[in-house]
Amino acid sequence: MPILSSLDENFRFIILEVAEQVDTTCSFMQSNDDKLFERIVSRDDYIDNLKSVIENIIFSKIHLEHSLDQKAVNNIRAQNTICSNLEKIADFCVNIVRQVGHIKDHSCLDEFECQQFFEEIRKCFPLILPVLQKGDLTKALIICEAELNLDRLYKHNFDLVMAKLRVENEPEDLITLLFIFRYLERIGDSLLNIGEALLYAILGEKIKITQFEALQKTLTKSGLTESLHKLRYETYWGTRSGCNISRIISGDPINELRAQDGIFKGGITKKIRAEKENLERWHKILPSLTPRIISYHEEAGKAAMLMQFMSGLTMEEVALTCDEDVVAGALNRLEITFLDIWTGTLVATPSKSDYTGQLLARLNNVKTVHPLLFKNTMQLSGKAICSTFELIRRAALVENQLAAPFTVFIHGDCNANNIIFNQETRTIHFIDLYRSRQADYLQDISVLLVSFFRMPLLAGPIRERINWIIEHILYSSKTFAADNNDQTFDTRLALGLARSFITSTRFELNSEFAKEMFLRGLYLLEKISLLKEGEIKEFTLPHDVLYY
Amino acid sequence: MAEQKFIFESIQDSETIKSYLESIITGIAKKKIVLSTDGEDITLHPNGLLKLTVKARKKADKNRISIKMAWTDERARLGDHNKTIEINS
Repeated sequence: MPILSSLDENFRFIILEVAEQVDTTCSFMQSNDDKLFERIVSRDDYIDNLKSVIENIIFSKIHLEHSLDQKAVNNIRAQNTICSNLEKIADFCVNIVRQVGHIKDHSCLDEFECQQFFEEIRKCFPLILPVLQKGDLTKALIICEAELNLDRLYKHNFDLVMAKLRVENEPEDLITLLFIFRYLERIGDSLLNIGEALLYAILGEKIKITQFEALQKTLTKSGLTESLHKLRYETYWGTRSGCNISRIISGDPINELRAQDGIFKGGITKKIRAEKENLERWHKILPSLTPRIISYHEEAGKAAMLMQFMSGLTMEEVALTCDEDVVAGALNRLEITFLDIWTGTLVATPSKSDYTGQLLARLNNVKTVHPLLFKNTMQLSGKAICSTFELIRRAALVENQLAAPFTVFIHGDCNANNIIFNQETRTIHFIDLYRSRQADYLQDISVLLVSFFRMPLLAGPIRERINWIIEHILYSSKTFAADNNDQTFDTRLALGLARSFITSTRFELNSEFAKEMFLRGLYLLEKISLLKEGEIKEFTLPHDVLYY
Repeated sequence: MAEQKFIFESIQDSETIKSYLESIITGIAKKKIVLSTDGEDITLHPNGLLKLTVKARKKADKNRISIKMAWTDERARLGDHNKTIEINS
């Protein structure tokens, strides 16, 4: 990884200057020499300037040098992050020496382990350039680890200060010392940012050290012995699940061994473990439907899982980009898959419906994004119009009398992006299964129908196709309902659709389309809320609500 | 006088829309239409000469019909007539 010349020069300078600043700060704490104080304060201005110079070089390089390849750009971006954090460290040094000035009795410093902090910090600076030049992962991890060690030192010294504060009557110096330790601990945070920037330069993707450690352990457990350098790591941005999801591609990018590709998922144990257990359950129901678990790892409230990568197109991609015969084939396979799952997992025990409950749970999030969609009570020339909340309350009263006649094992987050169609094998796969459970099949169908409805093409032949897909799914699930004597299909589906129409608006920033979905949801709720006892089974879902 | 506004938007079947329009028609017959939201009322008195505009548009499968009524309150018109015109030279 060659570094660009004048940037290289300045970058080397800032590392040396900040290392020197840390050394001088350490000496000043021991000697309290005024000359050292002045040197630290004046060098800080120089470091600030150096940072600005480097920033200018970096921005002009990224803007003007179009021949830079991705690796060179990644390196420059890492250098920019490192440079900002080095400058922060220099600032912390100035803060520390200013605090030392407030200490009355300097002998109090001897009672604490200040030098250990500095030793931990100092060892990082000589590692930065070699990591950047040679991509040495082990050394990058040493820098990341320094933060952990500094945190431990901070905790230890903090406890010592607290113990002294409890017994001694002179808190002033001890409080000042706490500030000093806090700045030393913050230097650790900056070192961690530097370490993570170096990981970015090596791996080509932004990764937090905790995610990296989890990834490393999961790969080791999976038996993947390849060096992490040789794996390609692509983060999936914009996931809403709160998990970190990345695709791991093994081997040479040109001769990809696709069979070994994996999806790495890391996050809080509860979610990841739920997905693992669901995958195990799915494996018993339909082994080829869901990703195989390659390895799983739990540690300190976090979990990580490496799963098989399911190749193919999502149903959204199929709908928007494929030829009509491929769409028809995918839909046909999807219907057969649903039917297999539903008949294979059907439990004939009624289950209470709770779509309005799910709606209420997310209503505040919707209101945050689209506050103006919510209506208060209105009067239209003598005709009363319910407020949004009142309408939901009334629909909930009707729903209270409703139950799904049976349950099946459901996907749980069945939008078109979480269903994969493999055209070569003509198979359907489910992904993102942490919400799978035994429940009403209309939970999945309502989510799926609205996920097609809200695809961002509002007119033209693709919209006609989306309408056709919706009609297809509606028809096949209605047939299943009739075959299984599900008499409240239309009523439950209307509630499920109303829930999905309204809650989906929180992801929809096109305000006109968000309003369209919201009003469709309200329309369905109004229809349901007007049902009297005995009319629940008679209700017919107005299909038009699903076609745009 | 500050401008008062009332906006109601809804997606409905034609049966429900008919009932909304009937409420307005009843208001026209009584020469009083009250619209309220958030405890604030707008009272309109459709009286005297009213301008009615009906616009319709059809483009492919998208349709639109808009019905607009506009008028000036009688008292305001009288007020205008009662103003004295002064001519200075």
